[in-house]
Amino acid sequence: MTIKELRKRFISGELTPLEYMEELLETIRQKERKINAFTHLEKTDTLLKEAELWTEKYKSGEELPPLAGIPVAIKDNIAVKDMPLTCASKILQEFTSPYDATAVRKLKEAGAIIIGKTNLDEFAMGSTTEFSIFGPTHNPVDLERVPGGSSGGSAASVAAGMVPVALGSDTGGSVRQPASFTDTVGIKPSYGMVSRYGLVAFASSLDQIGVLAKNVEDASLIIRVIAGKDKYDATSRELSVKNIFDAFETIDGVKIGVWKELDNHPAEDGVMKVWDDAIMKASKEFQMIPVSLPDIASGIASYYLIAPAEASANLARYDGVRYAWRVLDASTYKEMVKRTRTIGFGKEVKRRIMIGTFALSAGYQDAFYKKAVAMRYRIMQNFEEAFKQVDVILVPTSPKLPWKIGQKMSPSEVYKADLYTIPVNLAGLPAVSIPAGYVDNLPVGIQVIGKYGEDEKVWAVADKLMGLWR
Amino acid sequence: MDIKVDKELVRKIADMAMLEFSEEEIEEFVSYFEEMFDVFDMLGDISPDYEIPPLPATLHEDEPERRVDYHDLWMRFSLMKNGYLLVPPLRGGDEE
Amino acid sequence: MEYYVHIGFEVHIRLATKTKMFCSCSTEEGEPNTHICPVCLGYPGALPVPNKEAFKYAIKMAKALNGKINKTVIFARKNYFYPDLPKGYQITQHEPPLMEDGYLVLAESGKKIRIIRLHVEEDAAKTLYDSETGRQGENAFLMVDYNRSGVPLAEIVSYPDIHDPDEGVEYLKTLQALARYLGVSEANMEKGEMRADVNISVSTAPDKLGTKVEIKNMNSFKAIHDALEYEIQRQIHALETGETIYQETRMWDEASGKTLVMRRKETSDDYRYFPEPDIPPFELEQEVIDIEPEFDDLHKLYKEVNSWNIDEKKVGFIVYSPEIYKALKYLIEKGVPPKFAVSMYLDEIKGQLEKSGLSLEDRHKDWVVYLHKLISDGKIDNSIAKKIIRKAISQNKEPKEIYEAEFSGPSISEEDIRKTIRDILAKNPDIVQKYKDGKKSVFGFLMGQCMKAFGGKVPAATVKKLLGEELERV
Repeated sequence: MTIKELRKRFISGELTPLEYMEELLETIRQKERKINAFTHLEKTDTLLKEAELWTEKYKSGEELPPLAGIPVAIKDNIAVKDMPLTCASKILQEFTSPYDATAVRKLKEAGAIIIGKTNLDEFAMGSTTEFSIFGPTHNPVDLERVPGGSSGGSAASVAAGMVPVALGSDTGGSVRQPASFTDTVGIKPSYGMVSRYGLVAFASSLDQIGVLAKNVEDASLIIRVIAGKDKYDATSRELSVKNIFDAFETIDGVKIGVWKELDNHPAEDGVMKVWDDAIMKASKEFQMIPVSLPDIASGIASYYLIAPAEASANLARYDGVRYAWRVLDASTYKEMVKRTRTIGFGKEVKRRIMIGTFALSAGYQDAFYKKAVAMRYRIMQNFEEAFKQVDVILVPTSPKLPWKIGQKMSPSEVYKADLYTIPVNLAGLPAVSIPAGYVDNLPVGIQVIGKYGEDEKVWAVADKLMGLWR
Repeated sequence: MDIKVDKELVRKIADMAMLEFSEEEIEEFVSYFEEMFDVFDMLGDISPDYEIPPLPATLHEDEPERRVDYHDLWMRFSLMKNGYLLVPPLRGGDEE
Repeated sequence: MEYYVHIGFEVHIRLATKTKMFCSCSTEEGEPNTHICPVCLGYPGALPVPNKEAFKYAIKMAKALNGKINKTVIFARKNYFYPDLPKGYQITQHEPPLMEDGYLVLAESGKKIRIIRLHVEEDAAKTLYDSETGRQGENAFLMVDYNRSGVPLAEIVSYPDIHDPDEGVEYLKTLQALARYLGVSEANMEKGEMRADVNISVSTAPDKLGTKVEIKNMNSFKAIHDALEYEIQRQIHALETGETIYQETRMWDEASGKTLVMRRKETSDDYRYFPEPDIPPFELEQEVIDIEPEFDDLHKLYKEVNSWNIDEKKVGFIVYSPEIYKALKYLIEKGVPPKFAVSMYLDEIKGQLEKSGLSLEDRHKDWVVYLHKLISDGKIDNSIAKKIIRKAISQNKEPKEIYEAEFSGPSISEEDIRKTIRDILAKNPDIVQKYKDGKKSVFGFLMGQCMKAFGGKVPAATVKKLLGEELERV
């Protein structure tokens, strides 16, 4: 059931927000123990009371905001007033947010019910949702496998039917890759479209709030609600979106680009098979044009310098001085800060802080950080060139199928699995990952990437393609 | 990469980042850095010089606003005294 | 051996905005930790948004320092850990600064001091030592107040073009006055609105710099002067005795009158500057770039005030006090002679007000205009004017009220004045005789008698003139 259908039923009285909430809570009761999608669930009483309130309002027939009574889950690196904001880290374990993120405020104003906070890799650094103080999230498609990450909790909660939509965040693929792994849809908007105010910064120039849902319509509808320039985020932009319940734009004559160099950087065989099928199906409906993006594979190197560099500064505020947890028996400031951070951060977070600090340090900044930024500009140019010929570009979402929880991989092996998603963040572009097929019952997603600010077009094409591929 | 990573460099970086590591962890970091250098080799010989183009930015007007009640922020303070936040001393008794 | 001193300053001036640099918290003083929000506390998820108004202030200062203006603003993060720094980095303009390659002309000497740069940045929180636990200084717990965290600052860095403590103080006073003339900052050192760090080196060759030593913790011009005097002597002594001068940061200790080592630098700090990703690089709006400051050269003012032919010692004070300069300028434009304006406005009105714990207000300028008019009309003289001022201040009245109630009275005709004078002369024939015999000094006595009889209601000049004439007639 889509959100539009839900709303229709809420209005007709065929289904009430209260009944729907009870259904979801029942699903959560049944599945959450095995999936571990949430880091925090709002109290059942509170949720039922809120749903009941909307039920009454629907009965009275008054004009209600667009998402009235629709439950939404929020990744636990996005601030919801008076709910925990842990980032799945020990260092923020005791922290509750004193304010709402702008995206959350807009959802609340639109009538959404915030059901709880979802699991993630600590500070969104990872692609498996295993690196969490709350333990790993399991993939609803196959409980022994990872749901992807870092928005694995959001993806799993949607995939398991525990919630119709969830907010995630995407710094290098953290919405799209879990969407691909859990057979859901994940939208990463153009950089600046959605305010980052209240999103705990990992890498500020790459981070963007995104949405996970079962279909493109639901996901895009949420973006339409939360989009807009915000006075609390200097990087936010007013980019055009349609009204919340408007139909997608027409896409007659849209030209689809297919990444030419994929053969030099192929995904594993099963993924490639789904990819080839998908391209063939698409070519029956669309004009398909091979496009060259020669440098985007170097995005891995660029990203794994820029993101950690920014993170090393973004995470400096977690010093135990002002809020949350601190080591209490330290005799000096420095000892307190060092021990708090050493105990408070997990292994992967420390790796990123270390490599990022190094990349910025005197004597190394030119050879590492600055070269990485130069490469970033080159990748932007790659896309600019390609978009002279086509409207959107297709690239697989992940070179790998969801792997087993606990599987041994070296850090760089894991990082390299972000190959297809990272260039999109480096260039600040809009993209959607949509389900494209299965290999041995494991889902494969494909990304539709668009020009900066043309998010609506990307969604329209993605919606159409998803129809073809299903 | 012709840059050499050693334990000394790792220790220096750790100190800047306010993190502490055991000897074993420092050795792990040496190999992690080396592993990452192989990834960074993808950058090739691209020049580190680039222009930063200006972009549209949101600025704020000079009108005071209370975004969050300060009591709400105090509640989250780690340790307070007379309205001040309390932080351990810069020097300990045993240091000079 | 001759020694050459090079002094440079890093001055922080708090810009007079109502809100902080990157959030909308008030910059007013208040109870500790009451002007705070998630942004200036560095809470998770909070983002900096630059203050538009701050650039209007900064650009005035930048232009008055005559340098090249960079209209693209790129903020950077300066990374380091310290208890007063909530985010673990300070947001500051690194490359490029708002202004580079400028200069400041010193008010009195007219000497040019080259300015390396001016940039905009945020202030850190204020920290105090908690002495109640019995621990002192750096061994005590720190008490942090974030009201100051994020307040906008302009940092102005000079070349080491200054060669002695007097010149150093002149530089700071000129900069402070400039900020005040421009309305950019109150720049009050006691309130921390202007803070100066100094670097100083002593060498044995004029074109060579010695080892650079930084001094911090000076909260007044006197402290800066004393610290510089001390440090110059300390370094000269070291050079003479062959001791090593370390590149280090020293702290001025007011109590002992000495500079003490704070921190010795083996290597330079690695702040890992990089462009602030939360704020896009942006161009200043044309309306900001087009702002032209109304004052640019304090030395011109100095020469102007000097040309008023007033007490030389007061010239500097007037130039460094924009409100007083502006008031005097106003008076002079109204036709009040400079000397009179200075004596009434500065010595009398300001002096009397201060004795009563009051301060100058705008209306006081018009007192001087009014009194000057009475004097030029021959209605009162200087000493009566002063009396009127005193009474106006002590009775909290306007001079007009005082004059009309006590000094104007029904005006005495010239004939009546002459009559009274003649009566006095008649009562003192022997004195008149002495005058006639050429003992002109008795004139003073007769003058006194007359003034007493008129009770201050007739200007001395009138009395003097008529008394002279009557004496001739006797």
